Amino acid sequence: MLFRMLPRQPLLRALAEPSGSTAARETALIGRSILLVEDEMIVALDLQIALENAGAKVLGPMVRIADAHAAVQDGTNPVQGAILDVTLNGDDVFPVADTLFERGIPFVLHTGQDDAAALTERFHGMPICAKPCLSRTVLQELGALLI
Amino acid sequence: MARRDATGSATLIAEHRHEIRNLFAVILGLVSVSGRGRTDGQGVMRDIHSRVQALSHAYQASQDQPEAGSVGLGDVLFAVLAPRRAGSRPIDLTGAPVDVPVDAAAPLALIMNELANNAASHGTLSAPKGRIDVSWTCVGSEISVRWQEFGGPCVQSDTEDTTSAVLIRHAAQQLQGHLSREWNSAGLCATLHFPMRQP
Repeated sequence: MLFRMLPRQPLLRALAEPSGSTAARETALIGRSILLVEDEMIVALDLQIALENAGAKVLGPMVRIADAHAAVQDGTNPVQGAILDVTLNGDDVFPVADTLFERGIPFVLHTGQDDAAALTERFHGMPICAKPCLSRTVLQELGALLI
Repeated sequence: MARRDATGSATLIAEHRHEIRNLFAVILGLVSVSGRGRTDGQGVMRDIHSRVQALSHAYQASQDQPEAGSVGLGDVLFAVLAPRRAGSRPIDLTGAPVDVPVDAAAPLALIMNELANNAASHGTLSAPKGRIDVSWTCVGSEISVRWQEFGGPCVQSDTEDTTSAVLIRHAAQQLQGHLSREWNSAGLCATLHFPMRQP
């Protein structure tokens, strides 16, 4: 029953393999300020530790849209990339993603919904990681955008 | 009418899928967090088991509530800690009924589980006559959960697992609170403070 309920995974990986070598994608995160927006504590913690181990400076984890938005607007510590959970305590992260997108700041959309097609259309060029997804994979996708 | 029912059930199915995906994401994250930097496979496995069980017990406690959206603090603590009581080394729970939002159950469960793990590996539950009193109070808008060990080592342990400390810190932040620790003559006394939010 559990597995019959699981949706089919979109074939995103086949369509868009991240660019650059694995090593280049990992070193691309060194010294970068990365906004982390994720309300699920364990998932946020895993991503935070992975980002810190990759040498990134983590802004967050943010669990509220308003806090994430404030971090993006804050000029003292410019966001250079982001990992955005699409659904945050029932609210969608689009206001934050729209601002980043307008400013050309790259981000990865981390989603637990069946919304990959709509996300691709709205945020063209930004990778989508369907949950559950290894933190390493999310970082590789983000790193590829920062090379 | 039929169409409205179909829309409703499609929404329910979408929510259900979202929850299952999130649950898998949490388990995946828990495995990564527990295993990072460790080489002792058996120890990592024990940690993962206990953390998944703690989350599962907290989930069960939240399902058993009459009102959706909130859960009894004592019910969460009991669900997580009752399986950790072992014969002559009891864990006593005392406190007046107080409800917390259901999303507080998981961080509370993880904190209690880490304290119990630490007590079992180098705290009072490793001593032959050790015991633990867990009590909570709600004063004004602040909840305090006090974890007092008796009959265990009275000195600060420097063997504490760093993953455990990181998990506790983040879980407490999730509750917008913090955990303070001191070692008194009886053993470890840890107090978790967090603000009361409306369920």
